[in-house]
Amino acid sequence: MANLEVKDLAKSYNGKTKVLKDISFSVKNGDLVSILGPSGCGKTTTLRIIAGLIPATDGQVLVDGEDVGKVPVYKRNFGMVFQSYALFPHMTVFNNVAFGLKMKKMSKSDIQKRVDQILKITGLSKLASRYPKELSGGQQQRVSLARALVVNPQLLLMDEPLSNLDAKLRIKMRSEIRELQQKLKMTVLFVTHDQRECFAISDKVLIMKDGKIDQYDTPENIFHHPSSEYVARFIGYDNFINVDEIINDRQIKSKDLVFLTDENNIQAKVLTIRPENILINSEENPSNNLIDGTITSLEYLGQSFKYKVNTSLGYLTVEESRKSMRSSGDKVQLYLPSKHLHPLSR
Amino acid sequence: MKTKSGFWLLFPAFISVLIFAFFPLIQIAIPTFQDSKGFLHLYTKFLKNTYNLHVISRTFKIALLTMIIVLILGIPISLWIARQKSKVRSILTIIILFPMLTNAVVRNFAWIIILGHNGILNKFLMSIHLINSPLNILYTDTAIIIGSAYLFLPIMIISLVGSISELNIEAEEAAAVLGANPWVNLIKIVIPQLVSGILTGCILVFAGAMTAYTTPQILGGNKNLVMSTLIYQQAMTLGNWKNASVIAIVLIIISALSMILMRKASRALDRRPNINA
Amino acid sequence: MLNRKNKTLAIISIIILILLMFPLLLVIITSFNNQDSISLPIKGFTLSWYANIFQQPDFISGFESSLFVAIIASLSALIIGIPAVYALTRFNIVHKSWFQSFFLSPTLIPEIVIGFALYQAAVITLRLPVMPSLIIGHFLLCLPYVIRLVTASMLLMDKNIEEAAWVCGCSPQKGFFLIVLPNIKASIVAAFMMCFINSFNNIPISLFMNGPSITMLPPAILNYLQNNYDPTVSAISVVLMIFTALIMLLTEKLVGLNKLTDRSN
Repeated sequence: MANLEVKDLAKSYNGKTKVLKDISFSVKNGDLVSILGPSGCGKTTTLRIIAGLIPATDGQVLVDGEDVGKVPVYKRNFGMVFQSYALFPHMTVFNNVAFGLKMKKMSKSDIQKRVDQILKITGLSKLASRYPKELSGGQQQRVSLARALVVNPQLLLMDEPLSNLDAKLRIKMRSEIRELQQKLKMTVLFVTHDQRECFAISDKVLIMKDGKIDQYDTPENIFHHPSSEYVARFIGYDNFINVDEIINDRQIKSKDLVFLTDENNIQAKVLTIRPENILINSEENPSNNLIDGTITSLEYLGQSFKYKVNTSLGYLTVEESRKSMRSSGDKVQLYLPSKHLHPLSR
Repeated sequence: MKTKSGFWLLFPAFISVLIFAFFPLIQIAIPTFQDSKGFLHLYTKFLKNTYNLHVISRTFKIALLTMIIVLILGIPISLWIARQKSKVRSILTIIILFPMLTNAVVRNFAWIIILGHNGILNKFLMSIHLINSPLNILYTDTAIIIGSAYLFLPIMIISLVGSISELNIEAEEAAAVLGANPWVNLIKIVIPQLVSGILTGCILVFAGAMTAYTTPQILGGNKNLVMSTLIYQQAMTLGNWKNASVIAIVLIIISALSMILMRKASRALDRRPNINA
Repeated sequence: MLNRKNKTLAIISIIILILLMFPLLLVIITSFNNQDSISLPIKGFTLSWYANIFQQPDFISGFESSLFVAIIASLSALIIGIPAVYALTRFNIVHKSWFQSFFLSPTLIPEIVIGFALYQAAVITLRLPVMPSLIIGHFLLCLPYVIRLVTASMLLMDKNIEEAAWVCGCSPQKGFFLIVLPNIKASIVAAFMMCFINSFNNIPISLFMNGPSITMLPPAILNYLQNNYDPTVSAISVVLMIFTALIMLLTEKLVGLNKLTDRSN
């Protein structure tokens, strides 16, 4: 496994349509880094450039300090797991997994040994002589992973590997991938559009927007300190309060309401707060950061209720875990604790 | 991937079609445009001749009638086949494919047995006293149309079955729920969705019937010439190569024009969402 | 609903199916008649017309040369057509659809004109021998089948499969043979069958080049039919039908007959 460094990557088609700009980041040996973003943000393009499947218009891809820009895809010794799994339909599971080793002209007995070992790790030993179309989605996913791992790749690239699985299997597979990654100390680049998925398994997350990096940090930091409204929305912040006037570095005004924040808000344009952090009719009797409103609709989420509350600042979404349900039309007072109000500068 | 290696993969096919198909065409076309009596003189002379015009209109008539007959016969059976269970459907497909893949000489020869002077059709009609003396059907335009329809029906069916199986039967069920009977459904729901498939089939049949050689040769005899048999007669029997070339060019232009027109119509009339985009 | 349970539809369809098979059935029956002329009903049973096929040198040599031309033309259409399809479906070619139409354009040229033009250009002007000229003509007949059928299956094949092979260390050239070809095998077999049978049955292209030096089978039968009206024609027709049936059976066993009619659009 190896370090990956990407420097000033750019990609444009026909010299015009720019799909990637100034992509620079590095991945430490043994880390799992996710690239997160909506479809069309350039995350798959970035991955395919790193793999060598498409050339970059500009910039460098360095593996352990060496520029691999001129190395064709089939000489890079990476592993890749595709969204469609891309198993070879005309080969058995064994031959699918053995393919990369055959390309390396490894001896038959070594191939047998190595494939058996990897099939055991991925729990596929009993399926070795099956054909891909005889496997379930989860099994195909495992074969795809085994095929990528068998060559001891310097870097494992995964392009939305879980998106074709059903919700339950997705959660199971993602923890399997994480376990395997940590056991084998693999360097992994994982592309996804699923926020929960990538926060659950990543050492670091790279959030992309319109072909650029918006934020690159650990999941905890991103979760608590989103760098922009875009990131905040992407990771589940529903409420945004426009900053109309900055009073000082801890106080802002929106319409005629004053809000206190724990964080420095001197460059704030928007304040954001997660639905579960807003309190309804708080018993702490706070004296500030209060706002009155009326519940207009509600959703039952199983563990909690989600209310839409109409306030003088517009609609706010509040999640409350409580046994008894409030009803539509109830007048409520919302408390937005200052420690959960995050100022965003863009 | 790089475009350069793509070019080298395309090159053999490109050059072979260019040299084998277009070079010979140009070679026969060029001498026909100019002769001692001026530009396009051979064409004006050809088109002024009433006999030739007769041949052209006969060719058109045969192609058009063949197409209509094949379409009318093709729609119901295609609907029926397309909606069979897959096992029955594959057996029926074999029955359709078999005549389609059988040699055209064999298929036309069969109609000599049926339509001939002492053929079984005449024998049958006389035995039930519908006619007193044998009908002369063989070696008429009618024989050519019957033979062509027989020749091209399988192609139409295969083409229609393909596009019918792409139809979502729920649209018809929706119409039925709203009160449409099967025949209203056919006219208002099924056929409008099949326009593109029908026109594709029609193009194949029309162009095929228009340029076919074997059927008019076997079933039309020496008197009922169409353009393709006229080319052969001019070239091989009369040795008039330039004239044959003129007819060949006219035939290409007419058949290509009708195909392009029908294809345009098919695109304009196709209101289904574009799934190829 | 207009489905298989609709009685009117079923009756019309069965009548049409009978109409499709009936003429061929007549041919089969007449081939066993012991009369000198083709007539029905048959008066007695004989196999002598089948024996008579072998007394016709044109039929024997015609079968051989038709078989030879069909195989060579089909194979060359595959060898030249498959790379072109690969380029059109996998590379960023400018004017992609123009090239596609160009390769299908021989279908726009009436077969009789292809035969006539090739005879003039190749045989008369360039003094090429008849056999290569015939193969060229039949190649033009075959190429569009290859383009259509193979394109259809290339479009169905997941592009990522090839890319996965490259990432596994396989060069694109090797990948074409190890990954692409095995996955489009069925359409290649189907294309070969379509090419073969259409070439073998073709008359208009062979017509002008059919002569004293080389006889092709279908023109030979046509010729015989125009000079004789005896059940030998029925007999050779039955032989050709059996030949067609065998090819269909082979196709069904190898790839399934439905592959013959796959469309790329």
